[in-house]
Amino acid sequence: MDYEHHVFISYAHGDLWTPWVRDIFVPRLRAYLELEVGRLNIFVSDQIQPGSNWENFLKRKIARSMIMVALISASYFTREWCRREMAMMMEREKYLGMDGQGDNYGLLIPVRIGGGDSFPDLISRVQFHDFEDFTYLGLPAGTEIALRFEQRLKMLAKTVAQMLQHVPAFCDDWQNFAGEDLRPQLAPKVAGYFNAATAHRLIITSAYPRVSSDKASGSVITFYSFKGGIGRSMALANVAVLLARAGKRVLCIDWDLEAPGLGRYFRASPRHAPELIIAGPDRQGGLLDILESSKPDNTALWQAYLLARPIADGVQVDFIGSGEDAPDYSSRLAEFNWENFFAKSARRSSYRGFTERVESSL
Amino acid sequence: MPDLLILLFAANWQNIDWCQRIAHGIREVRRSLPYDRTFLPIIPVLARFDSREESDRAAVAMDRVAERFAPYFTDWLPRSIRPRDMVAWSILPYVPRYSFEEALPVEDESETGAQGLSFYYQLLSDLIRSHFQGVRAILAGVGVPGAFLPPMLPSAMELRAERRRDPSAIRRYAMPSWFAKRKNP
Repeated sequence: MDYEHHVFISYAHGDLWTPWVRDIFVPRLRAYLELEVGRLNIFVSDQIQPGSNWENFLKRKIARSMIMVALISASYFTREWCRREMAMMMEREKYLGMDGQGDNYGLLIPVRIGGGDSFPDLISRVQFHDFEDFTYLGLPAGTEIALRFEQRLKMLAKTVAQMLQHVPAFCDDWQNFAGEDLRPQLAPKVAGYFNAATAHRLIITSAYPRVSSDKASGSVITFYSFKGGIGRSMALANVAVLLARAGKRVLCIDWDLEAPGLGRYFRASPRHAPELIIAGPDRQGGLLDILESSKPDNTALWQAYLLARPIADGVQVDFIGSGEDAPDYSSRLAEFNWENFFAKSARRSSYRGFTERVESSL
Repeated sequence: MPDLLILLFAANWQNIDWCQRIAHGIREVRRSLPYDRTFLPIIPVLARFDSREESDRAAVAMDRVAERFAPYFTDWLPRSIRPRDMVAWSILPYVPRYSFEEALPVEDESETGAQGLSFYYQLLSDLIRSHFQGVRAILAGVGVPGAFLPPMLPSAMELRAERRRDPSAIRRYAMPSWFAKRKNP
């Protein structure tokens, strides 16, 4: 037996990373690597479909790969398989005495694609190749950022090529490495925390229209301005109408709870024909009521406050107001305990879980 | 948490300074959150922009914005297009008509035949919809400034340099006709 793959690419699969890894990262890395070392075989971990014997299959694939490029994001260490993939390679490094010998000599290259500084000390022994600034699908050709991405890839390809030169001869023993779960070695900070104060600042001063796109989960677009009165809500409302006309499903949510007003753009004015009057439930309320509820990520609750503003035949913009029409709105908002809210959602399902539920349920 | 941030600000310092700080801060905070998120592109938009009078000061304001927000433009703007040019195209002009009540110019202007704000809203929504694929084509599509566009002002220095190089290039800024007809200095 001998090596089958030059490079094994390990990452946390899913809607977020798979398109980027498959369509952008791997093909470009391959192009640069082939300039350095000629034709080569790259195995990407998402090629494995969970099946009867996938554990053994994966182990064999890793054992028969020369080196591993681990694309590390925040969720990487939350997936058992990612942790075990990395563990197998680290075990081999240790076995060969190749661990901790510097950047270009080893079998594992960590590449950071997200998650900032939240990684365990386990990984900080080596310098990351940082790709955090290049992880969007749109990474458009001919831009400054694309140029920097190419430069970074070139450096990564050089490192990989150098490491490939030092790879020892294949040995059957490697298939027998257990790939013990790294979990016990992980520092607690990766287990997940949430800083309520920062997230609060992030979301409450902005207003979102949610635009569903080809991506299964849709995109969230935030219109932000530091000061009021410069036409943010108006821009949002108009852009929402244009996107709906262009065939997108659009939901606008008025997150500007302290100075709400987005709804005014969607209400019928005397000029409007009767068919342009907002349709929806007769009840008052909106986002604040949703946030106040004990289960703010409940789908039915969101749908109860959903209004539809017809734009043209079969075209509408969905809208959830702040709830400002309730007479006690101001006092309820003043009393709303954000710290508590974020702490609660962090305990229950994490704040991100909350926003993702909202994204997927609408 | 957003996949795209539209950052709106007026041309004065308090807006520009704070929006710059916040854009920087949002990216830092996002980086420090232990959750998976892709890179956040930002479209800076110079809003409530009035260049009907004081057009020299308007040009200076645009220079200022281009300088401060250039790093965010370079994340998605093709390199052949200068951030300074994009600033001029991604403005939302001040239209007094819409300061009196909440209205949707994209519906309203098609009724009244006027064309002002909705042009800029359309461009912004096209950029959003494109996920930054084919930005050049989108910008080329609106590249010929029509009679409905307010002046697109380059900086005074650039204008001089450009006129020296190619007097006819001035047309792409939709300058008032009296200006374009003036003799070269």
